[in-house]
Amino acid sequence: MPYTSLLKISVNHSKGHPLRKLLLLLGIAIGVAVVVAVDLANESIGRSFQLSTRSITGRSTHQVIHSDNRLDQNFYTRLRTELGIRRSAPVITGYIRIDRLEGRTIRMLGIDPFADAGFRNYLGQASGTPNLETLTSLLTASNRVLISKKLAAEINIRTGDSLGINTAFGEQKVIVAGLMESDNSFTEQALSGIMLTDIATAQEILKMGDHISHVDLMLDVESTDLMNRIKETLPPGAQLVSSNARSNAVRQMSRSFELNLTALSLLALLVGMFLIYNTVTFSIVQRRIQLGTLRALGVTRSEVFVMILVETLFWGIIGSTIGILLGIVLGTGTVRLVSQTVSDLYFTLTVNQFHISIGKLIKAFLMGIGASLLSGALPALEAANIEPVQTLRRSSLERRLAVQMPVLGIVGSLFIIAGVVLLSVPTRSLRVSFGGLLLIVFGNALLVPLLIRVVMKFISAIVSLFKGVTCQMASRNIIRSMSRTSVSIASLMIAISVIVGVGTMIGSFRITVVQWLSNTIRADLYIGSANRLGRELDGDLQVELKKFEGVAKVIAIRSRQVKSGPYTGATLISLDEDTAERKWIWYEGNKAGLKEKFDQGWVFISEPMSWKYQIKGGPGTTIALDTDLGRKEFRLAGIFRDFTSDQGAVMIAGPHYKRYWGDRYVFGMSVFLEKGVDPERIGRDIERRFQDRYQLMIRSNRGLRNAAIEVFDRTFTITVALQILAGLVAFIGVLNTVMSLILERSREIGVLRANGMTVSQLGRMLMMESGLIGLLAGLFSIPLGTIMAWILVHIINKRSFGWTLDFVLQPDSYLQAILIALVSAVLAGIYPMISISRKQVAALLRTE
Amino acid sequence: MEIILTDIDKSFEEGGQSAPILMNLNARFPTNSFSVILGKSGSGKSTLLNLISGIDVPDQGNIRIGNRDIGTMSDYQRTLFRRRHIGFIFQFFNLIPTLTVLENVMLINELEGSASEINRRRAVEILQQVGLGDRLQAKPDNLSGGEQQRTAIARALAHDPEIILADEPTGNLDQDTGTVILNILIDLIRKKGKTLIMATHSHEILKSADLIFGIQEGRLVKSEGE
Repeated sequence: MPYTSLLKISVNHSKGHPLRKLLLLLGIAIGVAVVVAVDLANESIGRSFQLSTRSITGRSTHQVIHSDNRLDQNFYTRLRTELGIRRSAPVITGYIRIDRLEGRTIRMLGIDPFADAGFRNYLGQASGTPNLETLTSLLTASNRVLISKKLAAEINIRTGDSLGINTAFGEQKVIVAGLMESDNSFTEQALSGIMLTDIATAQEILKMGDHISHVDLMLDVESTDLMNRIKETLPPGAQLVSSNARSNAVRQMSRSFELNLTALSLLALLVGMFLIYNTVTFSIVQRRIQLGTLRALGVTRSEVFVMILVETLFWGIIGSTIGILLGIVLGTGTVRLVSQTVSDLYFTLTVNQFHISIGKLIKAFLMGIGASLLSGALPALEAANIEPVQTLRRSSLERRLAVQMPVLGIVGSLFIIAGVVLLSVPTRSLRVSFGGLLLIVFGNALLVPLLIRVVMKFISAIVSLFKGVTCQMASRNIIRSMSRTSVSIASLMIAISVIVGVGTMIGSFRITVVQWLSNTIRADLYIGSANRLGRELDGDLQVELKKFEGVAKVIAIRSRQVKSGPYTGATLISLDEDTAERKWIWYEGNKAGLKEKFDQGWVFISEPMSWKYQIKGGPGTTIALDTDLGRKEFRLAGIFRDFTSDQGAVMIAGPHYKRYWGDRYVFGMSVFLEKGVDPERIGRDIERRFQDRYQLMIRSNRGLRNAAIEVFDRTFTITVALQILAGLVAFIGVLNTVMSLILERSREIGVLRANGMTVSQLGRMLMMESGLIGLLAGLFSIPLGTIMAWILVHIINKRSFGWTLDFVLQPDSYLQAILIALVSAVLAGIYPMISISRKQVAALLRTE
Repeated sequence: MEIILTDIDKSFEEGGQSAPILMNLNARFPTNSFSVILGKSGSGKSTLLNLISGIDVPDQGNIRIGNRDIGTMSDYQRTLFRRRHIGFIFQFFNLIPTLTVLENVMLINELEGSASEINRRRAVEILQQVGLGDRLQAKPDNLSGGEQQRTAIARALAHDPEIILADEPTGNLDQDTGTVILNILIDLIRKKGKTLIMATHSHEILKSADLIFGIQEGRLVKSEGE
């Protein structure tokens, strides 16, 4: 039979049941949308990062950087004069805020306009003013800057206007000497995130003195001699690095976080697949007579298979297209949430533009179609395999499921075993770990029919104790329609188990972090800088604070990021004294001797640092850090549990820090008060006393803990949003199932109504059926969610970030899971129940 | 209970057009009588039974059962009326597949909230009368067609309704089984004193009937049995 006829039959069938088709489309669309939204967030961050780094690195192949971001400018002169490296340019970078941009941070880039020409072509594109004039203006007058034409339009500024900016050192005024623009959209975007000025102005505004941030170089890869000569002339703390390697090291920081989001986003698609499977199966059962007739008329098995698959493909294409559009809309939210987290945890990032490549959109589209075809293939195969005389009745599906149940159980168990084996592989690959988790989840889904049978025996026994035939009918209908209810229960179970799993993981994480904060934050007051762009205080403040009445002890906290060397990205923290009660993963010698070792200049490192760089500890372990005096080896005293940063932290005693890195980067002060002194009062007094000299942010012990927890909670906002979306797909799945179950039983419901069942009795029965679907999904989700939480806590988190978390069961989340499952299932039952109640009994009795 | 139908009109929408099926139909079914309605497929026999039971409502006209006017009742009242006063037997048996034979028979009294032990006793008794005393716990799927229809008869009688409506009760059975089923049904309703209205193709049953009607062009026409 030609496919055109089959296609016509398919099209005619598709015209019916618009609501169910809409639900199917929504299921596919939301699944695809979540994937697109997360891709959009990850890619926008990548793109913004690329723009941001490209604006600094330009066409440089290498850079001479300094551990302190303060390279003596004489070194640059030596490079050009002594080594004769003409293709070199000095650069100063720092962050500023423009008042009119509502606090948005942009980068100030200080350059030498002449030396820079070969590296960045921004100046060549300055418009509105002749180049020569612009350059002269930049070089001869102070506080002259260039901004992009786009940015100027945004803040309504013209050439010659004065502009207020905020730096780490307070407010400043600059004059806009010219505007930059580019025909190239990539450069245009890069330009809108920077303020360009000459070296001298940047040094003045960013208080760099005679220093620069780094030197850009264009070196031939093969010129190893020249590289060696540069290395020989490097001042202490300076390093020659490849520009790409440096950017990549920073970009890698948030990769694990992004990968975790991607894995979570795939979940909505997985839940969507169950929905597609259910819908296609129902549409086949509904057309059993038609399909049987077609087979009797000579349509081959493969033609039936193709016909069903083409139908599914059609819905897959429409659903995926809607999903992509929906994903772009959802993406505006995810970009904001993810970029906030990346800025909180990894690196300063301003995402001005959303970006997603065509490749990623095509990937999401194909994933939607692939998921549709994969889920539709099994029911299509069922349809193709039926004999013309048999036709596919629900009862035959149920019988087949009963026969296949042990096989499903065995296959499910094998999936779980394979998942466990995969998770046991000693690897750091997150893909392997998520693969293992996926196998366990899928294996559990295959066990659902068996589990329903077992649990429903108990439930039926309990129900039989109660009076009322409606209850018994409801409970038996679940078993009777297991081919459909099991798929729906499995998909809801997965969605709810993610809520339990991720909820337990976040809960465990939160409890661990709260415990860690209370062990680490010991002082009564914490004093830091209120200036978002520069947190630096100075040592004088410590001296003066010590003199304050009621103050017992002041500990200065110095903190800086390691900019070079093997541990780039880690945080170096210096404390005059370590007052925290730490949980040790490993320590050298005995625990009591750790304080002495610390005072002697040994260092402690955090657990993520030990994980990331595979530093296992052990006697005689040392770590190499780039200091102002060059690279130095430090003896390792211990590895402690820490959640400051997943990039790792190195802790060193104050005097040793000052010796190697000077007394800069005083990040804050821990103030311990004498007994009985009111922290609030002292805090107010300190603020009053120093308000003319410093912008201080004074937080009580509790205030600091709350602020840290606030960042923690913000980090997981997107996770919760993704869970809700997966739950929404599962809800649609249950709605679809309940609708299908009711429609299939229209005649039976008609008989019940004809025999005197009232609408409210019918409603109770149908609500109970929906409730049972929810209850079973909720019950099954608890063990699966707990297993998932264990894997997330002990395997995924460890492999992603190197954290050891206390695994704390969350009884609340169990109750929440059952409630969410029950409520969503009951809600899903309301519409079909109302719809069938409104139908005429006679019409129901006429239903085939 | 006497059933009186006055000036009944009923039509269905077909392809956007109204197709009349019953027109100006008048009839009277006396208490404890056995009436047979004959007619071709699609003539409106099932529709008439649906109207009498309150499953469907007429476009025009009155249906009085005893001293009650079905047409003035709400859906809820009609449902309760059906549950208390009418027993239904369908051509395709329409047993509830998730319930056992006993539970199917107990169903209507269960819906009414009758004490379960009395209900059970009554159901067992009627099942023994139809010859299914040994199949109480069987599921409908495991019964033959005849057994299923006997269960349906037991279900229709278990709550002791005054009126039994049977829509082609033997239409899905072989001739011998059909005869057995009819004999059981007629025997029971005679013994218990019920009003039975049966829609059928079968002419065999006519000799047992008190009244015979035929549906012609939407009207009920009395036949030889009167």
